[in-house]
Amino acid sequence: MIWLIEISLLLVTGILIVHASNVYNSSFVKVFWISGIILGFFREYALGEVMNLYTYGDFHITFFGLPIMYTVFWTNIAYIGLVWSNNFLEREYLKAKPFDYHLPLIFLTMVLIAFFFEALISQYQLSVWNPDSNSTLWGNTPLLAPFAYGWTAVLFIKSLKLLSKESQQNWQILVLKLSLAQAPVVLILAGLLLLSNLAIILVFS
Amino acid sequence: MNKLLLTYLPYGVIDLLLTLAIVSELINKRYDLLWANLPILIWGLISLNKTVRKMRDDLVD
Repeated sequence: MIWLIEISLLLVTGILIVHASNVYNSSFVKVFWISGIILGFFREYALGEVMNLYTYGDFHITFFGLPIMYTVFWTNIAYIGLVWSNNFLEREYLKAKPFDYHLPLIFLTMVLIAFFFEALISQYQLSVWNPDSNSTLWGNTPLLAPFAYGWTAVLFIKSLKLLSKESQQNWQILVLKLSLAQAPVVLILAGLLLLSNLAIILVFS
Repeated sequence: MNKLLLTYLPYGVIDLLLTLAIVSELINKRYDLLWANLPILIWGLISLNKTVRKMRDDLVD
């Protein structure tokens, strides 16, 4: 089953790339997935290895100890959140005004994805969480998990919007800018997760 | 590519993963986790329904 989960996630990546290249264009695909993969590496390294928030189970497809599926997983679900919120609000987030309802809807989508996906992978102990708070959704999955999903996607999409504002820039420059921006994005993510964890501890203690 | 199929793709990938999750929960007899699949299914249906309606209205116009 672990193989099936990993291969399905790689298949999902292919399907979403086909969708994005039809709806947007090939430059968008390159910008979104290249910088997303970099986010995936930074995020997993920071949260898994540095903060020791969770440890991995017996993944089969790994790269320097990091499960390959997690390098594309965050990009994939961020794209799903973006498309679903665009469809619901009937307007494009990247062209919308700064304060729009897209980001809360993307956060909501991520929280709901976290519910079912964490339920799936927790059955095979694919990620074992070690948070400070004792509040859990089920088994070992903490209340913090949906926040980790939500903040990741919201910060990534927001960074994409902020950096793609400037028109007439080619995709290579944008990829470079967005990839470099992923290090501070992960730092902000770590800060938000610490605050969320603190809030959970205070509310449920 | 067919426009309806293209619209369904970002919903279909979640349906694929949901199928995997539900089958796995049934096989492992983890019936307590089945509820976790419902919220995303409902939100996906709401979002997809809105898109399909808009496509239908655009076709009528």
